[in-house]
Amino acid sequence: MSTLNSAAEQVAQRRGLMVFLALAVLTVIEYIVAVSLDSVPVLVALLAVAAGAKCWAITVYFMHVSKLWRGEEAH
Amino acid sequence: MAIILGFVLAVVGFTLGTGVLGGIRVSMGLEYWSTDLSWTIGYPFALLGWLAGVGGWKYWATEWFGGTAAQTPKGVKRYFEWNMDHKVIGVQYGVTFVALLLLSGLAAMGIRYELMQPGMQLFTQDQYNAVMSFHGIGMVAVAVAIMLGAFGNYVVPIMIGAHDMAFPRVNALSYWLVPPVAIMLVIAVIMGGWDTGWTAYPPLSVLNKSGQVLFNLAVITFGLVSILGGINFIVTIVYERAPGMTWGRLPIFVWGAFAGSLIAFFFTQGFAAGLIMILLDRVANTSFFHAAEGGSPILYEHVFWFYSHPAVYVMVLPAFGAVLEVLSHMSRKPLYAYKWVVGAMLGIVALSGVVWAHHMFTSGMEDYLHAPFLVLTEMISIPTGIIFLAAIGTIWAGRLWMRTPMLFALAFIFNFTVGGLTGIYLADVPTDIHLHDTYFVVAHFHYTIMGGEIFALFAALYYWFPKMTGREFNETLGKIHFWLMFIGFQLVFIPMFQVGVKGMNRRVADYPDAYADFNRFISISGFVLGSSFIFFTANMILSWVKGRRAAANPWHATTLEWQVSSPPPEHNFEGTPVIESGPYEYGVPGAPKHAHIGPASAEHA
Amino acid sequence: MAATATLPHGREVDSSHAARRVRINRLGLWLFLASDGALFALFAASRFYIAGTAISPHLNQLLGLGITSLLLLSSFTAYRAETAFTHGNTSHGRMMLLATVLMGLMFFGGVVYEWSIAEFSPSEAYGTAFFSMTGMHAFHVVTGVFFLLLMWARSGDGKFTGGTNAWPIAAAVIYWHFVDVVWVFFYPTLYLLK
Repeated sequence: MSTLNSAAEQVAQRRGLMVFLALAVLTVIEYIVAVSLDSVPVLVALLAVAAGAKCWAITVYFMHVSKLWRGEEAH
Repeated sequence: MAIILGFVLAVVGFTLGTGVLGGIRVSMGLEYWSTDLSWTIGYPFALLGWLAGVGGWKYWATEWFGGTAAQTPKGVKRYFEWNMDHKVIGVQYGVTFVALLLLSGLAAMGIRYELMQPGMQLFTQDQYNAVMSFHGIGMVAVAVAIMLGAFGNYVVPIMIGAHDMAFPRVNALSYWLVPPVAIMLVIAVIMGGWDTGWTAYPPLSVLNKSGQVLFNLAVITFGLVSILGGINFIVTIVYERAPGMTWGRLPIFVWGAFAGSLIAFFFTQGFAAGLIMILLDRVANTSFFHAAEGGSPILYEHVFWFYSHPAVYVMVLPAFGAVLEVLSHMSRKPLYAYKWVVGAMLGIVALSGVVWAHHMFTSGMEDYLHAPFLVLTEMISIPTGIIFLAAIGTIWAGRLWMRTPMLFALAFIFNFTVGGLTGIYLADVPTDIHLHDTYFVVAHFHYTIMGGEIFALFAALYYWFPKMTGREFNETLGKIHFWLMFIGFQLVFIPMFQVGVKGMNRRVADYPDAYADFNRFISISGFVLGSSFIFFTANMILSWVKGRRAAANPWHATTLEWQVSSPPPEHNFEGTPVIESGPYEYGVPGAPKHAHIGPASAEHA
Repeated sequence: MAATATLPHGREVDSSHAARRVRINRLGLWLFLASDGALFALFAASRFYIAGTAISPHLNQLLGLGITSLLLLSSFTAYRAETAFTHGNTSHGRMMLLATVLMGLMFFGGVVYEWSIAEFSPSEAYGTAFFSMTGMHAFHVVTGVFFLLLMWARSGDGKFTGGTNAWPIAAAVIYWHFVDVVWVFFYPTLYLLK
């Protein structure tokens, strides 16, 4: 994206892209596991882990949950 | 006037919503009007119209669309429309819920008149169900919201040295959602009522009259009130404390409000979820509770009690706080075991979410759930016991000042003890199986909530009346109110334990002749109890209109709200609050004064 | 505005009035999301209570994967929008907001299409869970789109650009991520079990 302004913005945007790619990979894994696995307990456990990981990544990197206790950083 | 505009826009919204729905239905070849569905669709539009009309648009929402919000007016007018001052909102909540309390109390009088003798006299059985259900939900609404709504709103920000709540506009929004709740419940009764009590158990609540739909919509709205209020209190207490007001120096009422809010904001969704499922079953053809299709009525009981048991702690935690507040100031002694009380309150918050199924021992739920819920429920008596001991420790060897608020606070200790001890029989599975759905449960519940919270409410009401109105109340009328209410209360509910053990079912409009003597006695006692509220109402109206001007600090109390004028100035403090020690250092040698108002700093001037 | 304080470990924190206000609003928003999340969690739990882990064999799995990916991608563009606005890049931020709105609407369209072709009725146990959960989620998608559109419409003059000014954008975006988090759990719950 050529429209980006500052180095700081570029760093943040690149981090976002990495997180998105990780989420996408996890989603594909979820789908493959679901179509290929027959044992329901194992499936539930794996899906729970995958969903938990995705939820963690989104809350931490996309929603900036840590700003709740670390305050607003100065820019 | 704003309220009239609110009504007009509500009707417009309702007509619009039902009209669009009706148009779609007609074009699909159906009838224009379907009572359940039309109300469900029309109501949210009516609600938006109402909120816009009473001032939500003029003073807030217009900003979102690029407009400029108007300034709220001063004077008496502001009590009758959208206002964002927490003191105005506190008074609005207080008056609205006292009115609802008296209305629901009137319903109770009707119930007692009907039950005075066997057979049907005053009501038909349907009407009895409607009145009983209205009494239930009306009182639950009062109990959940009045402590936090009225006194939490009015007193908590001043106590912690804040200039207002964290979200003044959300605060106004949550108050203005209350009148639609009351109006919907009254319309529901006029439409023929609903017959599930306040608990709305399916399958009946999926199959009965359309009053049920209005009840559901009203209570979902009320859940929103509770959630928004809870969030507001949490954020206010976390971020709006004045410098020096550390967590360890918070007045205990603030802790009670904080703990109650934690429960309200998280668990209220349970009631909402259950009621939404009922609505979906009724209007969207789903099968949450249709056993034939794989649904389960037991699911409702789980979801419902997941909220509704914690809800009793939303009711009593702020009440505990208010009572301990009054006890300490009126005994001129430090609050006994402050830190343990705080720990106990937070312990109740933690435990409240894991005890719900003790309401379901006879419901047919899985047997293996009985033992854990029995044990967890009994564990709740540990933190409540700590709070009870702290109350006793506080008045122990104190110099008690027996004014009306103190009498109510002492009565709270007595009543809550009875309520707590009788609760053991209901938490234990073997006794509960006999006592379930009898008047024993009714008596236990009223001892904890009416004897506990409502007595605490009156302690708080008389205690803060001078601060909120700027007038002194009439002590004689206050004491008459207290003694009539206290004695009447005991005479109503002690016999109910007895008649419950003998097997009289609750919620039923009629009973076998064998219970006649008990019920005549209970009803007459009930009218004595009811008559106490005549003195209360007279006292409130007379004192507010022509009572003597109250001093800034009639109780010589230490907390911040008493260090400002009665009623407080518009932004609470003329200067900057300075907090130097804990709030209850009565007679502690060398302790600095808890708080005083310092000179105004440049920042807040 | 420019008031900053240095914490013991040397990180600079904006302690101005505006930053304090954002802190307060942020906690309020998160508490609201936690409360809303409890509602979704209760519906998800109810799904297991009445229907176990069974799913309908008539589900269109590819459509499910498609709309899930779309929502995830919209979360990414929402992140880009917020980052751009906080770093003073209004034009890119607005473009990304619009992209998010567009994908949100496509997701909603996907759900509507799925409802129209579903070969099971809401009166079955699984159908009850499916229609109520996707319906509630779709309602949140619509409100999220509304907030994002509002932000797009009002951000043109740059009043939401830079530091704490970008809070309204951040709030709408956090809400949008929340809607995605809900779907992160609803997607396997409704589509991927057996």
